[in-house]
Parts: sequence; structure tokens; C-alpha cells
Amino acid sequence: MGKRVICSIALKNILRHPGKNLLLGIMVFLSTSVFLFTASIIDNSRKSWRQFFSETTTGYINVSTFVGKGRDMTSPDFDFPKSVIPKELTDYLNKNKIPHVKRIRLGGVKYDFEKQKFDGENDTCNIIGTDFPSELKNLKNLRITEGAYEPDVANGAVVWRKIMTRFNLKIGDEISYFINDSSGMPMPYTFVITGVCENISGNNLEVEADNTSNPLVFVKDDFLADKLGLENGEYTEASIWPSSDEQINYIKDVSLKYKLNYYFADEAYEIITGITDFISFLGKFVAALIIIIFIVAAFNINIIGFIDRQKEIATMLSIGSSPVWIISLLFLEMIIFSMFAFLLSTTVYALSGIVMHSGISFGELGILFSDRNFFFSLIPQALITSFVCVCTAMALSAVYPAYLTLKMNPSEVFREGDL
Amino acid sequence: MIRIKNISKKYTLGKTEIHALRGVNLSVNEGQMICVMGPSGSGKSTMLNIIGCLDKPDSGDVFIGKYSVAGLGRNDLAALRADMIGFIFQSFNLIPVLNVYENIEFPLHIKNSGLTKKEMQRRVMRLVDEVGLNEYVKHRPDELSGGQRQRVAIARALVTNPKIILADEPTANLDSATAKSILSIMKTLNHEEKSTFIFSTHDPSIAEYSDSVCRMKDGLLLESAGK
Repeated sequence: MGKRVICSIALKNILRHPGKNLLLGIMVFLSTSVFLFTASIIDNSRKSWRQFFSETTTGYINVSTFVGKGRDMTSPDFDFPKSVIPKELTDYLNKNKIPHVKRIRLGGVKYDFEKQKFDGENDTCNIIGTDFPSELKNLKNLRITEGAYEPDVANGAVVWRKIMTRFNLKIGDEISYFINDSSGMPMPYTFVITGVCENISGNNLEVEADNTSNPLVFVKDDFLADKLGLENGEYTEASIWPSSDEQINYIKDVSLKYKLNYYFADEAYEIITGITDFISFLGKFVAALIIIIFIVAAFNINIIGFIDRQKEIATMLSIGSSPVWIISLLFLEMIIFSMFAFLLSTTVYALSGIVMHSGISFGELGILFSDRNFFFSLIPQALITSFVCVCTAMALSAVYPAYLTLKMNPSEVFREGDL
Repeated sequence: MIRIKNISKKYTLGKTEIHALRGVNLSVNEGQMICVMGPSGSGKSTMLNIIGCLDKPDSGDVFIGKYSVAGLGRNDLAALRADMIGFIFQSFNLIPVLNVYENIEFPLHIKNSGLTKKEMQRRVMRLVDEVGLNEYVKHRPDELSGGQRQRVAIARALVTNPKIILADEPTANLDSATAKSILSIMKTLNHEEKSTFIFSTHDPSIAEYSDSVCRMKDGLLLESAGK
């Protein structure tokens, strides 16, 4: 039988059952919308945090020679890394003019020389040796709110606001940390506070969170390199702002080759990774749940539809249609309907996105998106996945009617109809 | 054309076993118009369903032309139905989404008749004309009366030029005037197309349109009388 004929019958059958198809359409709309909305939440959460930390502390992608927990900036690493960033990566970054900043990072333990003691539980932080003006060019969400960066002060430091508040410090004060040098010996280093830095906008997680490890102290890279025994511009960490997937992939490849740690900005802090991972898990769980509910509902609606059409199917079998042809018709109806309903749902979703183009504020839940607005995003991957899920669910819901068609004895259907 | 050899068929309805057919034998020649008569539950429909390859007997065999039905699979039976058999049902059983023209044309698509669109159109319109539905070709079944629906069913049964037409109580849902007109059409087509017609009824006045009458009771074929 011609494709035109089967398509025409399938279309007519779809239009013939408005009630059943309205129910199915609502199910497709709900599941597609929930799927796309969930994917959008996951995407917004990751992207907003990635953007936030990319401009605040870590760079878009951060590569370091730390092992183990060095991946996470929440807890400082106190052991000096055994290797430095390889020349191959440095050359690639320079050659392709990829914005990046070289860093030497180590965990420090604050020591109070006047009282001759460590400053208690909240005394650790990340000491970052860097070229601070270069950092400021790329960390667009970071600013010096008090004092200044003083290039002439060899042991000058720009300190995170929370440290200033916690230890009641002011510009010009000295701050001392014990840092392990390259031989593993803890050595005290004293810095002079020349500036105070904090975020321009967004959640000042480092300030608001009661996590002692987040605060940062920026010091001069050559000062720290000299003290720690690094030569010829060697460094242990790079904050990189690549501009293409190709560059990201190359950086990943080099990192894997030299067994370097690399992570994206949103993966820098355990608490944020926890939030984004939880949202991702919850989103996938909700998406899976809605698909299961959709399959069950579509299955039931289709079974009712099949029972309603039993006599018609028996008639088709009687006048010579093969079971395979009828099954093709049932599946085709499902596929055409799915495509139409999916297209409609996606259009409605996209229109919602256009109407709410300025985004939605989640209020207290804004922390899920680094205190930024939520935007409806149409992610191609989510779009394809939800389309495949809808079609698969609809096809699966037609499997049992197809099985019943294969087993159908038309004479029994007619006899039962006559009873 | 058709040979039925000692067929039996049982059904189970709840806990009751019903012997629908008990060792029925029958031969039908090409071009004959046979009427199967009997009260409800006598086995008429079961016999027609078995002849039409919609059901299989528990024992015995049916031969349609050179084919033994017992040896055929589902797809072969479907092909045999499409090629050789036309059905007319008591409750018409038209496809609700198709209009009159499309309902009649549908078996031609199933059969893969190899006809061009124009040839199909010519054949369908000739039958539409013969059953007197020229004004209703675009109407859907729910817009037709019972008699008109049965005419569509007749045209649909004949459109592939099948060798056998099976009609299970084709006039049961029609008033007597319409029933007679339907049977007249069937008789005319039987003469013109040389198709073999087997129809069932429990109405004796209908039987006069046939060449031969078979009487059934309790699953047994009591007599077969030619005119």
C-alpha cells in the first residue's frame, strides 16, 4: 500500500479522536515542558555559577598541578605541588593569545606573632601569587574596594574582605601565614595589606558563607616564587578564559597528558558543585519520572483507544490488510501525533521564553543561579532528548495494541460485538 | 470453487462449551449464489468466517480454489482474503474516517492491484454507479442511512473482483424494502461479475434470491437444496 494512503489514514484517525488526542497532547505538552524547563534549570545553574566564578576567582577553566583535593578551592592544599605547569600548555596559551593568568597557589595558616599563636579554627586561606593587574583584567567581577594594589611593595597583599572583617585588620597592617615551601618545611611569611577586594555583584559567597577556606589573599607572583624556590617563571596553576570548544578540548588533552587537575569554574567549590549536582540529579529524576508517568498515561489512553477501534481493525484484517500493515498504521499515528504535539509544545515553551525574556527572579532560591535571573533556554541536546523520549514513549505505548493486533481474531471481535 | 470437508468448531463462553459446527461438509461451485439459513446460534456466521479465512476450524479443512486454508499462515491468509474474498457484514463495518469513495477504493490499495490512479477511479466510480451512490461519494459513513452503508459495503466487497463474496446477514439491520433492493443489487452483480456469493439469513423471504439454500441447526448442515 502506498505511503500516501497510510499517511492519509493515519492523519484522519488522529483528527477523528479529539478527546483522546487532547489528553495525549496535554501529556506531551506537560512532559516536554517539564523536560525542557528542568534542562533549563540545570543549564542555568551551571552556567550562572560558571560565569560567576569565571569572573570572580578561578578563570573559566582552571588548570593546576595539585593532586587530590587541589581540584577544589574550598579547602586549601598545604603540600607544595611536585610539578609545575608544562611548557607545552604555556606555549599554546601564548601562541593562541588565549587570556590566562599564571598563579602559584598554596594553602596558608594564619599566625599571630604578637600573641605567638595560630588564630584558631578559622585561620586557613588560599594564598595566590599572581600578577594582580592581569587578574583584574579577566576577573571582571572582582574589584579593590579599599586601598590599592602596590607593585612597589614586594610583600604587598590584596586581601579578601572577610579576612579583614574577621581579624579586624586595616590597610597597612601586616598579616602572617605559615606556608609549606617546596621542601615541605612550614615557613612563616609576612605580608603588608595594601588593598581589600570583593565581588562587584552576585552572591558574595565568600563573605556570606561561614566557610573559612574561601577567603583569598593575592600576593605578588615573583615574591612567592622566590620564597618557594620556583625559577624562570614557573607556576603551578593557570586561570584560563578560552574562547572556543577547540581551545577547551586542547587544554583538557594537555591536562590529561601531564596528569594535571582541570576543572570548570562552577566545579571550584564543593558547596556549589553540591548545589549544581543536586539540581542536575533532581532535574534528571523529575524528567525520568515525568517520562514514566507519560508512558503509563499514554499506554492507558492508547489501550482505551484501541478497544474503541477493535472492530475497525478487525474489519481491516477481514478485507485483507496484513497485521504488519495495521501495526505500521498504529505506530505511524503515534509518530505523527508525537511530532505535531512536540512541535506545538516546544513552540509554546519558546514563546514563554520570549515573553519572559528578562528572566525570572527566584527570590531566596536565587542562590541556585548565583543570584541571577532564570532564563528559559532551549538547549539542543535537551530538545533532541525530549523529542526522542516523547517518540519512544508514544511508540512504547503502541506496542501492546500492536501485540493485540497480531493476536487478534476478527471473527471473535465481531462475535463479541454482536453479544 | 469452495470445498468444506468435515469441519468442526467449538467455542468456550465462560464455563460453557458451544459446538458451533459439527462435521459440516459443503461444496460450492463458481458463480453460484448460496443462501445459508438457520436460526441464531445455528453456526451460519462461524461457517462463513471459516470460509472467509477469518477463523480456523478445530478439525477438518477448507479448500478455496487450490488452497488448503489449514496450511496457511496469518500473512498468507491476509493475502488470500485480499485476492479472492470480499466481505459484506451485517453491521456494514465501514471505516469511519474514510468517505464512500475511499472506503470502496481501500481494498484496491491493500491488494496492491497495480492499477493506475485513473483505473482505480474508473473502477470505483463504476461500482458507485451500480449501487446508486453517485451523490454520496464524498459522504462519510456516519452521514449515510443503513441501506446506503450496506451498498457501500457491497461495492467495497466487489471492487477487487474477488471470486467469492461472503455476506453475513447483510439485510438484518435493514427494513424489508431496503433489504430487497440490496439483494437485487447482489443478484445483478452475481450475474454480471460471475462471482460466487454466499450469504446467511434467518429470513425465508430473502432466500428466494439464491440459487441454492443450505439449512443449518445446532452446528449441523441439515440440507442443501438447489432451485
